[in-house]
Order: sequence, then C-alpha cells, then structure tokens
Amino acid sequence: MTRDNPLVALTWQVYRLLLMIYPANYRREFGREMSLAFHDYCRRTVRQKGVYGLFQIWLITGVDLVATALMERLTEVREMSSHSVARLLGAIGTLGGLYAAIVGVVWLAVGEQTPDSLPFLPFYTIAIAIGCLGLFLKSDSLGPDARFGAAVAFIGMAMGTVGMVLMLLEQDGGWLMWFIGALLLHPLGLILVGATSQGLPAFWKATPILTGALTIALMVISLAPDGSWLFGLLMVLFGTGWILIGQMPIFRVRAEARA
Amino acid sequence: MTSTANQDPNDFLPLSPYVFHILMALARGEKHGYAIMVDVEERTDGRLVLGTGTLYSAIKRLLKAGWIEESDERPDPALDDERRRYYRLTELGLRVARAEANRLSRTVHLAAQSGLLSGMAVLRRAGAPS
Repeated sequence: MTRDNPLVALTWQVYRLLLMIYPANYRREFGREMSLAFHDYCRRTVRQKGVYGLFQIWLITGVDLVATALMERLTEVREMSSHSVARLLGAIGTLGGLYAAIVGVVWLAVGEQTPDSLPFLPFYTIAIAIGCLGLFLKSDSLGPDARFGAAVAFIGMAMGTVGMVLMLLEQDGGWLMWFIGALLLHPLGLILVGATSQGLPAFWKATPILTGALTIALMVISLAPDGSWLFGLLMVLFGTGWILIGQMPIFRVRAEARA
Repeated sequence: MTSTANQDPNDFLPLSPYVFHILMALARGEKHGYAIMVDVEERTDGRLVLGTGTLYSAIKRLLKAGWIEESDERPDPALDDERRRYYRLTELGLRVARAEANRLSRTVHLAAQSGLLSGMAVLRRAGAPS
C-alpha cells in the first residue's frame, strides 16, 4: 500500500473522529466502510486535483456528515422510543392485570370487597388503560381493525377509570360510566383486537378474545345479587388475561426485532 | 407482510435523485460503497457527488426496504478488498429502478412536446413521434 499524503492522513483521522457523531449502532454497521470509502475518495481527489481538492471534499463532507448524522439520530430516537414506550406501556398493563388478579384473590378469600381496598381500585383500570395504549402503538402491524379495537379498548378503560373515581367521590353517573366503559366497550375492543389481528399466533389471538368474553361475563355477574364469589373468580381470570395481553406489545416488539 | 413480488414499484415513485443514481450504479453490477460513489460522479461528469454520509444513509434505507442486498460473491481476489461489503440490486430494486426510468422518460417526452427541449434530435432521443 502506498504511503498517504500527510494531509490525506490528517483528513482521514479527522473524519474518523467525526464519525462519532453518528449513533453507535449505525457506526457499528457502516462506520468502517464509510471510513474506507472516504479514505479512497480523498486519495483519488488528491491524485486528480491536488491537495486543494481536499477543501472541496470538506465542503461537501461537513454538511453531509452533520445532516445525515442528525437524520440517523432522529431515526434512532423515533424507532427506539416507539419500541421502548410500547414495552413500558405493555409492562404497566401487565401490572394492572396482576393487580386485578390480586384483587380477585382477596375478594375470594374475604368473601366480599374490603372497604380499605376501594381507593386503590382505580389503579388497575389506569394501568390497564395504559396497557391498551401500548397495544394501540404496536397494533399498526396487526391491521386497521385490530388498531381500531385497541383504541376502543383504551377509550373503554379510560371511561372505566373516570367512572370509578366518580364512584369513590360519590358523584352521580360514576357506576354507569364504569359499567359502559370498563365492562362493555373495553371487552368489545379486546375481542375485536383478537378476532381481526393478522399475523399473530393462535395463542395471542385467543387471549384478548377470552379476556374480553370474561369481562362481559363479569358485567352480567355484577348485575346478579349474590354473585360475589363468582365475581372474584372472574376478576382473577380477567387479571390473568391482562397479564398476558400486557405482554402483547412486548411480543410484537421482539417479533419485529427478529424480522 | 406483503411479498415483494406483489409490490407495485410505482408505489415508491418518485425516487430522490441520489437513490435513483445508486440504483443505476448497481444495475451495472454489484459494487461496494466507494465504487458506487465513483460510478455516480463519473457518469454525471462530476455534477452529482455523493458524500459518504448520504451514500451509506441511503444504503441503509435501501437494505431495509429490500431494494438492495449484500452480495455473498466476492470479485477476483486480486481486485477484492475483504474489508468491504458488496451490494447488488434485488428483483424489487430492479423493478423500482425500471419504473423510475420509465417515469422520467415519460416526463422528458412531455417536456419535449411542450417545446422545452430544442431540436428534433432531442425529441427523437426522448422517443417522441415525428
């Protein structure tokens, strides 16, 4: 290999340092090749135009580096945030399901809802509503109907949360809002997600359908006068369903990463 | 996911000049990044110079879109630089490049018909009816 002109060597070293402005993943993928291509390009330019050609190279490269590094940084933030937000929301939904399951277990053990637990009940609806958002974020690859279903499930659980807070504040209309939102719209949305999603394994399609169906059963049971134990059992099953549904956005992120 | 065989290349048009020139360079055979830069610069008489950032940013997007792929085949060992990766057009990439070439050809034809290009030779080159 011929020895570099000192200015070419210096230019190359500066360029390699400047590559640091690109995201680490991008550098790992293309950094070495970019550096090699730039080096060859500098040598060719100096052969053809002399060292003054290096100024011309820097005029192009300076703007080019900054613009593309900025674009790659933005792309990385957009992709990472979408994935990490979906994972986080899914994990919160899972916690909501866990909380609902625990409430159900306590309910079964005590035989009725304990008044001390009432102020904490909205937390599981908030968590599950957040889980629905995660489902919505990751449902674009499942088809438009599934995305619509996730939106309906979110609106339902958001209504359920508001209704529950109104009930705790002993305001009118709270029960009706909780009933329509959490026990009607939310499960219908979940059933739609499971029934219309494309490209999901059977297990992941069945989970929201079963959870939605269980919630509708919960709605019917809640109208019965002595259905407390059954209500607790269904709450456990509903919570378990949501522990799994909360994993769906995480599953989708992993599947997309593998693809 | 939709199979690439079913994708309509016209859905991706128009292409940016950089992307089209990269696809054109690869239509003439598989190349590594630097060879693409030189090819584009020489074919355009230096009017289009690809910076390394623009080139590899485009290569990343083209790989992701499935228009190009990394080639496993290596050239003659005497000419090969094993530190480099070679890229080639995929079937979808070739169809997109052809669709863009046809689109540009139709545009030039229309420009010629509108009197924006002078001389019959230009019209003939653009395929306009005499």
